[in-house]
Amino acid sequence: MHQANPYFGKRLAPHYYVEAVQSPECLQIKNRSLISFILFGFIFFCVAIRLLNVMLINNNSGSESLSLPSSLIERGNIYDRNGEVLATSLVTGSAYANPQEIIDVKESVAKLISVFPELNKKEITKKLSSKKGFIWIKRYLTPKEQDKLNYLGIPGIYFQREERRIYPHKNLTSHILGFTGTDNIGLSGIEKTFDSVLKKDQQDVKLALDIRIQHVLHEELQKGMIKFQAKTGSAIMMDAKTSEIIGMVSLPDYDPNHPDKISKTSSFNSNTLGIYEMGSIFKIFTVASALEAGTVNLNSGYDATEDLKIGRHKITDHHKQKRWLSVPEILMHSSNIGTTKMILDVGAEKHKAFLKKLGFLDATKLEIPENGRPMTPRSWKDITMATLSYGYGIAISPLQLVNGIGAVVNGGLLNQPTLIKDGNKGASQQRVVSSRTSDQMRKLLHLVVKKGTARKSDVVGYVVGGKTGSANKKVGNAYVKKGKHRSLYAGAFPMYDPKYVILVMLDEPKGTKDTFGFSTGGWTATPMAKEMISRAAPLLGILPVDEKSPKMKAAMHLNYKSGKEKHAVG
Amino acid sequence: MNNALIRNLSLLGILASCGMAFAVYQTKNQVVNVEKELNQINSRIITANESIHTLKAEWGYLNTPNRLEKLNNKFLKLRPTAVKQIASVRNIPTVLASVRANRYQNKIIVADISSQNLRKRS
Repeated sequence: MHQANPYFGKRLAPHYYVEAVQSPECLQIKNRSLISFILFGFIFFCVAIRLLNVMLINNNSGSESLSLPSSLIERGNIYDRNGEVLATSLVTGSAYANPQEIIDVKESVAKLISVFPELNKKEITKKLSSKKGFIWIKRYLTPKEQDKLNYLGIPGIYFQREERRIYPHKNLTSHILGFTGTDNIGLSGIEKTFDSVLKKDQQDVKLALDIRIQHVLHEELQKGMIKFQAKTGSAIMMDAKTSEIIGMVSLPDYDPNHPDKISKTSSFNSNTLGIYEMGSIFKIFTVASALEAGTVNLNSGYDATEDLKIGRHKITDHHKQKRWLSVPEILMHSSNIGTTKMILDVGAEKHKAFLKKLGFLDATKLEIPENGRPMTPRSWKDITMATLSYGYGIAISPLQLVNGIGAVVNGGLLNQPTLIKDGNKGASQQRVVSSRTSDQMRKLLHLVVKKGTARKSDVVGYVVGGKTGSANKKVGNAYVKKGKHRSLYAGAFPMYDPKYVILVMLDEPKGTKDTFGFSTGGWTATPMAKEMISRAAPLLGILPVDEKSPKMKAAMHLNYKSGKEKHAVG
Repeated sequence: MNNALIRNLSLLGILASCGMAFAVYQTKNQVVNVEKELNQINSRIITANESIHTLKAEWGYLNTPNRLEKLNNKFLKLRPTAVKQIASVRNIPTVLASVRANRYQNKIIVADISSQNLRKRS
């Protein structure tokens, strides 16, 4: 074979090649190969373009990988200070039907009613017989209900997955959390204020609230309201040093799980939106103002023998002593004459500045939309000052009151009240009274509990201090003297180093046999506060102390003159 | 450059491009598979998250103070801690001392008190 082929192993000489090309058969071959070259070239070009397209340009042709499948649950949770869930979202199924696919309407209706007896038979039959393509059967089913419905196997019935807000604690958290409407938009409370945080950022919110304390306040307030047949009730417990609200109840309340059933009266948050004249409790601020201004000390006092006349108004005492009263006695016996004389010595300018510092002349800025604006005096004449000294002529929210008392007893520093855990961390505090005045106020309020009108709030061991109040209600322009009043108690514990402030308020309580018909603060709100304190204090980890120990006696000792005995008593 | 070398080089080139094309195809295929897996995992995460939400809500319901109190009243009958039930550790030695003092007064010698102090005195 090697020999047979003379050209084997040798390259063709150029002239042979040229010769071959020039022959007519070769020309034909050349043309054909050119055609196939162009054809294949074109096809390969197409393939290359497609490859480039698939691999480099269009990344998503294979699968929709890079866009994460999104969850139906978008809104963040709300927790209490210990991490208990207060609000969360669930994916629920809502049942709908395509009436055109329903085979037997009668049977379907019978089956549906066996699972959901609350459905209206007539209505559902009418809906299912219609010629529409879509009708709702029931919204927001629980997983159990979905299972049951699935098990029936009715053709033409489907589920639509929807997000739904759930409040496991129901009424307990109503006014604080507020509620959400359709499409999960926050409509009141924390849900409204933090709507964008919860929805857009999908972040959780941790409240300062302690659900156990909230329960204690709720239960005791409800008990008290029933016992004294009160119209409404309010209770707040607040951290005295940080102004974090650990419990806040306003009754009547509502179940935020059913926003469609909320009535106007039950949605009213009396603690923040309501403003009230606080009555005798305001004497705390009168005395603090006078001590701070230096117009009185604990040994000075005023003569309260006779009623006081200012212009055509007469100021009288409820617990008449008809003698000279020292400052502690004025607070103990809640003497209007005493506080009036005291405030007139302080003067309008100074007292107004003091109330301004406490924030009583401006609206609160709590993290919920429901914040009331105080009603403040238009002029600061003597008669206005007189009524102001015992809590009339100025109306503030219970929250402002409790925050103010916290500032007076905690060493003299005012915070912005907050519903958020660590909400005041790093925030500046404003000094409202000196630490010396604050110390004196602590001892005075403890004395009121030990020997004054607030005796029924004494939980021996927790060193309680507080003040009662009963404020007559205004109907039209006149104050109603009998039957219609608000009973209040405000206090703090333990008084040697106050950790928590508490407030209880009842609207129009009636006296009972146990209270000998009395319905004033000392007989109604005060024993309720005692129950709340004795239940809450162990939960809050406050160690009871021996109030009779020499150390504690020395800490709470208050040397004061008595107009009655004219010598010092301990 | 000689012709054999050029032919080998192009052969090598063709082989290499074939190999690379195969590798690219393989990688692409793997990516598709991994993405499928990722999708599955993601949807499982979502299902798990939804279950967590449901369980949290249920846990919340079960922990409602109202319910716990009812259960307590039924089964445990615990009361709120009273002040007299709480004592500080610092007060304990004085309690012990008073117990000991009482025992001496009554001249009862208790075997289990083995402190030196006690023996000396008795």
